[in-house]
Amino acid sequence: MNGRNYRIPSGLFWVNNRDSVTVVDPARAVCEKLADEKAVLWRLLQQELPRDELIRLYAAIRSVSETDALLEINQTLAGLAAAGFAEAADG
Amino acid sequence: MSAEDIFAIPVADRVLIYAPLHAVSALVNRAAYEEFRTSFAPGGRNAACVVPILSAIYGTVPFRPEKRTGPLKEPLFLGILPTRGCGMGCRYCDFPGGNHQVMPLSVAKNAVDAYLMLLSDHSIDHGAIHFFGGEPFDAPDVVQFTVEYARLAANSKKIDLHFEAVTNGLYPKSTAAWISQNIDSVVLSFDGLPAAQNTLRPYRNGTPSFDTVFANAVIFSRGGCDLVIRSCISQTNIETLADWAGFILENLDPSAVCLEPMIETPVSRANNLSAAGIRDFVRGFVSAADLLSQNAVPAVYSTAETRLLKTAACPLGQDALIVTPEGNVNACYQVERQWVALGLDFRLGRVTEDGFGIPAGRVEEMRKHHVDEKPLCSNCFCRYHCAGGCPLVHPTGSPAGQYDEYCMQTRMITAASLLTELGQVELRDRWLTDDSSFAGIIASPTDRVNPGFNGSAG
Repeated sequence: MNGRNYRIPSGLFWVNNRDSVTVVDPARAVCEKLADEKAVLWRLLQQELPRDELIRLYAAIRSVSETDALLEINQTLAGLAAAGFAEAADG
Repeated sequence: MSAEDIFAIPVADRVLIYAPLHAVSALVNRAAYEEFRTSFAPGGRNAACVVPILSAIYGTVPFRPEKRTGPLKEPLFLGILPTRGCGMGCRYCDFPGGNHQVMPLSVAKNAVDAYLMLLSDHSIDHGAIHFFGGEPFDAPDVVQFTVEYARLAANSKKIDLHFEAVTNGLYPKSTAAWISQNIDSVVLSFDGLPAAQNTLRPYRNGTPSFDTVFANAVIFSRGGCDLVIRSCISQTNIETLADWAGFILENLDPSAVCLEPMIETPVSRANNLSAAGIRDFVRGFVSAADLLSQNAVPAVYSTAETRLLKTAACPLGQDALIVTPEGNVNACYQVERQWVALGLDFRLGRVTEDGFGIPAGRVEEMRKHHVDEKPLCSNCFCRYHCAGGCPLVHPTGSPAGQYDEYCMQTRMITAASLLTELGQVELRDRWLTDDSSFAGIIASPTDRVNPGFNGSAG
């Protein structure tokens, strides 16, 4: 399975409210509230799981195939990158 | 006037009157107790000295915990056993070692789906999922999956879920951080200061565990979860119990500290571990409770929680559904061979993608593990706090009042707790120091004020 690589910029902090995650970038004085499956993905990313394990768990949680899971993950990360809460790491 | 569920316990030269269903307790002298007792006799008069007690009792509506009846509707909780495996080599634990099956995610998913469907079908908007083991975080992906999947599924059904885990604290800090952020209540098994913890609860290879467990306990204390510390007390750590309580207060922030006596097992005997003596345990518990109370941290002995009224001692009989790694649904979280060895059967059924498959009558069978069904407990003042205790370690089929050492311990701690609540610390300590109090607490076959009452709470 392919997909872009992303990394979470340093300097962010986040608050887990169980049902959602609020990510804060103090340098830019902005925050983003992630709900439902986006919050799930954020929490999984924080676990620094191996890529395959992350996809396996996310697919199981979302009850989708691993292919569809990867698609969802990439879409969410692209959205986070556009908002400045993730960075493309592959050029 | 009825004396149903009103009890009297001699304490030194006084009598402790206790009406648990009314949450009333009082300490009186022997003469006043006679006045109190005779007020229940036909034509009995209410002497002025006992009127305040009677008023307190009969001025409140008694709260009696309901016995569960009817179809399975609202289980106490859904239990998930991700694995029976555990990386600790506790010197008293008789859980089987070796390789253990890890729960497939499909089994966890089926369990969550079936549980939420059950709640939803009965319009119940809250639930609880508890993780036990072995050590649940020996299979962290199962716990993580279950929490995230259940949370998403529950949100869509507008059900609020509470997550609890019983854990040994033996994992990387990143796991502890995840737990503190995602599990509501953490019950951490932690047996004491380094010498005790490292002796009683080392890694399976014998390596000391204190530093890792303490570091994670600090993470739980500072995180968003509710922390309960559970310490198993034996002769090895009873002497340092007060120091341990002081250490907890100084370094951690638990909502409660649960102190339970070690039950001797073949494993503990092979490791030359002995249970703490009853007198030592009771006195140690009360001293530790005094210390912990200075910071408003309650010390808990599970069969003597006077703030709780219960009619079943454990999940058994409260419709808990505990799913094993193999997909069996049990009413008890202990290892199956433990109950099989006693001729008991706590299996409810199976869970599949079609839901819970529980044969008719199984739930009702488990509900028989109710204090009303335990002859030994019929006339005991602790019956609504102890409910007979764990059926795997405490048989309750003997006639009412034939109390054993298990009862002695529970009855002493319960009475001591009531005296503490009444501010009678000096009397309590004098009573506890007297060895004859321990024999005395089990001398009377009934605690009921009206001995003619037949003991049924129905």
